[in-house]
Amino acid sequence: MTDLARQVAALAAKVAELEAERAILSTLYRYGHSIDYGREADWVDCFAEAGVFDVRPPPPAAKGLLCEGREALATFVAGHTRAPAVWHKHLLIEPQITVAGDLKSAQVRSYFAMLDEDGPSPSIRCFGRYLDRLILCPDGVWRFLERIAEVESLRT
Amino acid sequence: MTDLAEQLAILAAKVARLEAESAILKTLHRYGHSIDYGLEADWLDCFTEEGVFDVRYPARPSAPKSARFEGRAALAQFVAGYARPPVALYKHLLIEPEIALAPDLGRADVRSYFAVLGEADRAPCLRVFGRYLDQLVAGADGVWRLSQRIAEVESVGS
Repeated sequence: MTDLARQVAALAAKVAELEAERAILSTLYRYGHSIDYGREADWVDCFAEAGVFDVRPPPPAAKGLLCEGREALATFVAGHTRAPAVWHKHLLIEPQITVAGDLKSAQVRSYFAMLDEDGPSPSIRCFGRYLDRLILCPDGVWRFLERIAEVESLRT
Repeated sequence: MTDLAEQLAILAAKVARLEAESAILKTLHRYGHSIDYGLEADWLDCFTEEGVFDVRYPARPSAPKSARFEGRAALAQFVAGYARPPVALYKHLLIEPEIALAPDLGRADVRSYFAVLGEADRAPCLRVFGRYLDQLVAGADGVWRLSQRIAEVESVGS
């Protein structure tokens, strides 16, 4: 391999990593936009076939939620509130993305907050942390293998 | 075209796309920083000459009236009257931007969330939240500007 070819290969590897990070962000953002506006299929498509959604509220709050697989995920999101009946925003903030060397899996740690209305006023319903594991699917889309939502503070 | 030249062309296209997304984010972020600190010229420069800022409030008796500002003169008048430090403290937060770039990398649609933090009775509060629906174009100077920003306000404090 020539020196120029080596440089091109190194550059291609760097670009591929940047593209993977952008694609992962797309999935992270799609999650919020789809659940807030009731785009159920879009939300379910954020998860791999065997994807797990694990909501862990702070003790001694209500019991948690565990959805395993697309059928359970679809049932969950079908019952979720949405615009315009209910206005809320699932905000994802400060994602720390760690992509595996082979660019096929990733771990992401990020903050979340959910805004909604408390009476007539905008309010913070909860905040916490997402611990995500994603995989690159054959169609080039990154999907959640597992999303753990650690709810740290919740308005009751 | 040689194999190496083809690889370079592909890489150049990919980098151009990443650069465009990065430049768009810069404009989206500049919008908040400039309005929150009264940097009027900077805020205006987030829009094209014919840029439109369309604020849509929910249809509730307690909500402010919707407003639409078209062109830089109207936008300048709007931002000149916007409260700023030290009189008022705000933070316009833009979150989760979904960027859809046109294939020619000259235009983009962006859908994002916003929330505005403020103060009430000397305590921080959430004043408003909603969604931005933006159209941007790449300027000849390489800067992306809003040709239209629709601010759909979904919840607003009294």
